[in-house]
Amino acid sequence: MIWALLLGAAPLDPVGAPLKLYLSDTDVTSEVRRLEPMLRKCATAEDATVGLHLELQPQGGIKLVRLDEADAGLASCVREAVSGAASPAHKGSTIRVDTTLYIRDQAVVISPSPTIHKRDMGPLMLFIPGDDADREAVTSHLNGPAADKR
Amino acid sequence: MLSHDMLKGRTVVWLYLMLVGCGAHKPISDAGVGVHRVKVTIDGTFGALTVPDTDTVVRSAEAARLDLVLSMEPSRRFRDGSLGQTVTFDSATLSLGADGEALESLDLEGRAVELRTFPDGEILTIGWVDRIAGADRFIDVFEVLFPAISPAPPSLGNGDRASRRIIWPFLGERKLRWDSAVDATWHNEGSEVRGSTKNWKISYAGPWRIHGGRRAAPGRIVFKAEGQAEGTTWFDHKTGVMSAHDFVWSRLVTVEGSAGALSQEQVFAGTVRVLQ
Repeated sequence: MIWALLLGAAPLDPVGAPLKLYLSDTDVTSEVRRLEPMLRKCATAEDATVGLHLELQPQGGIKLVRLDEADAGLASCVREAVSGAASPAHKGSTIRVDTTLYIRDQAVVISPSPTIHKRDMGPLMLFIPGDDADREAVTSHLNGPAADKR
Repeated sequence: MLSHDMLKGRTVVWLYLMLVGCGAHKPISDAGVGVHRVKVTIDGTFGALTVPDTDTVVRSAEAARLDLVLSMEPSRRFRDGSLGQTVTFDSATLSLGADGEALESLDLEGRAVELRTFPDGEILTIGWVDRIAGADRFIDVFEVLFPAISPAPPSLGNGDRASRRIIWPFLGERKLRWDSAVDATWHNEGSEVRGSTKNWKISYAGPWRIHGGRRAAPGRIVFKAEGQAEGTTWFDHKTGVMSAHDFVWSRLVTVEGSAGALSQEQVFAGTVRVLQ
């Protein structure tokens, strides 16, 4: 009975969570972190830090676009491991993610805070079918010039 | 102290409530609402982009035609009786200017949103709408699409008129929101045969107002628009499902950022046809 009461006390969601049509940043981070166990076999005797540039494909699956700073053996192992990785299909465009793979004392860790590239939506509600420069001019008029990137 | 029988009784009540709660988002394959496809064409006429105070022209006027084929698939039923439908952009073309050159960068095909409506078509939310908005997707501009595919006339007898608002929200990231409302007067113009089916012809007209934005910095912005909406819908006598919708909606949009404001006149003339 206690279990029934505890279950009954669980809050109901009156609004309804959005359907999983797209991947949120949390979803993307979790999909990338899921690569960790698959990459354990790539652990090298020497410590290494490798930049990974990945794409989460709309049809599902993760594509390794580029590796930074990895020797041939490690690169080949990482490529093989990532090519077999699954990720959920989604209705968005390809999601580009940059992250770092750390090998320390033969333990493999993926950075918990990957860089997830976002599309620039530009100004909303105004019809501006031109290129990025056209949209940037309008954004600059509305919000002032963008700060320089670091 | 509660007796054993009372505790047992309360457990049954809890279990009942839990079961009712579990029905909140049940799948609606049994709802009798099937997948259907609609063809939507919207001709957009966009005035020059101007600075409101000085009338300085930032960008000249232009025209565009949006051609869409959408599939609408029921996905779930909510506890309040509303229905979720996955609306997928099966095909999308945006033609620009007088020569109708297609915009190659249009990135709408394959995208989807969840349209949550009451059974009469009234829109509650449009889940993931920000994913079809902005650069190269443009549904924030062509948002008239949603009331076009999901009009919600009141129940009217032959020849009757009644007022009913057409409303829908746009929800974006970082607390961005604007709300559209048309104070529409609806008129049941009687029966009309279209193709092989008998339809109710129901027209509407009324002022269209939009207000919203994002209050918090960074990215503080205000969206305002005023205009007029009018259209005619046809609903199948037997099924009660919309078969067609012709409309002309117009608005003067003003967007105010932290550094300046811009305005644009927009007119949307369109048709919706249910394919199957």
